[in-house]
Amino acid sequence: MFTTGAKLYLGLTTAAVAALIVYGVTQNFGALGAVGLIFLVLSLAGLAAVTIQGRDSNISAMDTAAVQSSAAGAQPALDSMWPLVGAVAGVLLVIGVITDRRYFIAGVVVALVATLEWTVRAWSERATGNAVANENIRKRIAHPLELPLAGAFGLAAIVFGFSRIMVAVDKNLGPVLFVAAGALILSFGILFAYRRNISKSVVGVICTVGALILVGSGIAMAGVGERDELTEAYTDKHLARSGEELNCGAELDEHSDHKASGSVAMKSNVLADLTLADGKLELDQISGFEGGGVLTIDRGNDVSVMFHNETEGEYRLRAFAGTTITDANGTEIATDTEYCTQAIGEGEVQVLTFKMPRPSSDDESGTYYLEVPGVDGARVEIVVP
Amino acid sequence: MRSEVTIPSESTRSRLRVAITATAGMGVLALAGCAKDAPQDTFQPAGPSAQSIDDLQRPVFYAAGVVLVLVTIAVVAAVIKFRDHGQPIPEQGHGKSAIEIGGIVLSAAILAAVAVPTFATIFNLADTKGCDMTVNVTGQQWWWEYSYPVQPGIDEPIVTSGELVLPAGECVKLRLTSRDVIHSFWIPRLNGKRDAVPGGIHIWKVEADQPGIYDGQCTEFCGLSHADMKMNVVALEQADFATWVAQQSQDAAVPAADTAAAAGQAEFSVCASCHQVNGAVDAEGNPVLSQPEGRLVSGAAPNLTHLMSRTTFAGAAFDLLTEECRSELRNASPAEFGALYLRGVTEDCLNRAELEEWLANAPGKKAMSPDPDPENNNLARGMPYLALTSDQVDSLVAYLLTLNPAESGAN
Repeated sequence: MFTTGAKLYLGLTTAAVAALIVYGVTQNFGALGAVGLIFLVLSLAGLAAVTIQGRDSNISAMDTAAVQSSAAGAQPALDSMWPLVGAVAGVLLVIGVITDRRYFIAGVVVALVATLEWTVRAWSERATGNAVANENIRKRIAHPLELPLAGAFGLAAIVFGFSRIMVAVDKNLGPVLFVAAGALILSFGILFAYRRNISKSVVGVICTVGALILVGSGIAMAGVGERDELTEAYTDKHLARSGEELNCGAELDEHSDHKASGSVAMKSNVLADLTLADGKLELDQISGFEGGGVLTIDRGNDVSVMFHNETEGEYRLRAFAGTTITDANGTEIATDTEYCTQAIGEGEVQVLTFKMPRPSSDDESGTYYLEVPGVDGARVEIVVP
Repeated sequence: MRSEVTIPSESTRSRLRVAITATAGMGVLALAGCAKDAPQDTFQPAGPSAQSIDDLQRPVFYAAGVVLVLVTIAVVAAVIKFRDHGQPIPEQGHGKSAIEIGGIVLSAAILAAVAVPTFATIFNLADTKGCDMTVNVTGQQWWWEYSYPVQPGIDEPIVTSGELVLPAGECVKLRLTSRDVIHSFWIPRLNGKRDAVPGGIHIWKVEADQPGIYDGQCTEFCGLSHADMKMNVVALEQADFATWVAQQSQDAAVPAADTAAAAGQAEFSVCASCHQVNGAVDAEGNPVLSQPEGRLVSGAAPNLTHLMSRTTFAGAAFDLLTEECRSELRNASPAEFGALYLRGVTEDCLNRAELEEWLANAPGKKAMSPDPDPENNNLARGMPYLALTSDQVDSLVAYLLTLNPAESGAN
């Protein structure tokens, strides 16, 4: 009566209904989960209906005797590592439940991969009576998924390893390593291209050793950690947005301002461009809005502005967002709330993203503004309605 | 004599099922286009931008319809003519070059013919030259805030929500952004849609030919109440718009002492932790400033200074006007619309039941996540259940009714 595919989907539908009931009872039908499970039930029920209607697109599937007597029916299952991988997933899930959610997520991912691979393998082993044909069928089904994922995973490992090396070594050494690695890869590429008689195994060994060196170095450098400038800039809170211990003054910071990045990728979507030129801070708002030379910012909304230094010397842009003096008990709870860029040289650019959580009328010390410390009069008023 | 009953074969029954299903599906699709009260109808343009979209999409739609009919006829004819009725399998070939090349050339020509006006329209829609007025539009779960920076005709910044009020016949530039997740701004009768992205600003424009109310809807899934994240554009004559600006630039009126409204203002102190009412002062005369940043993921709640100058509340999901007053306003002639709109929500026109239900149990009326989320700095999304008594709700409604600049004579 029911075909194999229909039984599978009916079973999955039943399981989804059970999951919905369990979820509903235990989680009081939380909206998102319930909606997801209801859609799962409907989707699986729809697939079950399609497979019943289409009889798995396989009329012979209804011929039970033929199926049972076929070679595919008699073919013994091959050895498979996926049950073992599934067991590893189970262990990860248990560890994740007890300790850290990241292990649990990893367990879910591994379990999904194992289930999918095991399902495809089990299905392909009974696709025909020919083992070679079955393996080809499995590859045809699985490779479009396996190869991109394996490639992405390998690429991610290489990128991660290289990035750990680059943040660990001296800033001046980084470009040298980058060029050297690129030159090495290019050299081997040329070598492989012109020496066609090199055996595949040699190429494979060279590539594997190269990848292992890169990933191994990356792991080692991850252990070493980031270079001093980065860690000290972070601990100095220069890159943080807390406003505490932020060097937003005219003086230069040894680590943060030294060779600050003077170019940005973001060229659009900023609220305004602010240019320091001839001792003045010029405001140019997006889409040509004049605004009376005042920058009006919505309360509690992240905004980005672009700072251009067109003056000789290194300068930063500082956003002053008010001073809160005391709390209800009279205790000093904060001083200036401010945000700033790193200092940049002439012709360089930085983006400053900040938020004004309180309206201008809340400020006890005056108006909000953007300014360039160390340049008198280089100031633009900010209004927060 | 017994008559013989012919039992259809399995294949006949299968074909019948497919035919019934297909007919039912097409019927549902056809019926879906028969809505009478459909204010968000992109085929009823009411502004230059929407008109240019309409001018583009109608010919494309008709041409696509002709192509659909021709292809369907060809497919059906081929299926019927070459169906399996026991004939030998015909000679197998590798296609006919003339048909294949002809099909490609014809398709490319049609697509090219569509592409040229499409690109021209896209660039025209993005062109904001000539839009003298600018409004900041900020989306957050699940309502829209509109702020009007200082510019010619607006001497003080204005912040409002739910309804974007504009002068009719004037192109208005919008600077779209978001405080939390991605939203999308769409007033179908005035222009296409444009995303509002956190941290970025997207420029858009709207213009309405005539005074009136134009409905819109967030069109980027943004969470639980995405479907209830609506918005209206209200277009007014220039003089009426100037009056509206003057009204909005006022502070809220202070209720007279020992009135229900005064009691409601005291109750409002709970609401004031998130909702700003400009001009409100505490017992010591200090301005009352809301602090939504400490409670909400978006860090913002609608400014209620002139709540009763709007026709909707809670993200334009619910009407502040009774059905009768709403109908009167929406069906008013362009000449009468401005005066009706500017009178705001009077006591007679207040949709009291809807507002009271909202105050009594907001999360029960609109899907939100009002409980502090430990994984998100204990911030919430939406208005919480405040456990107000019916007396407190009555007082609050009395106070909120005073937030009508046309009636209060606010200063």
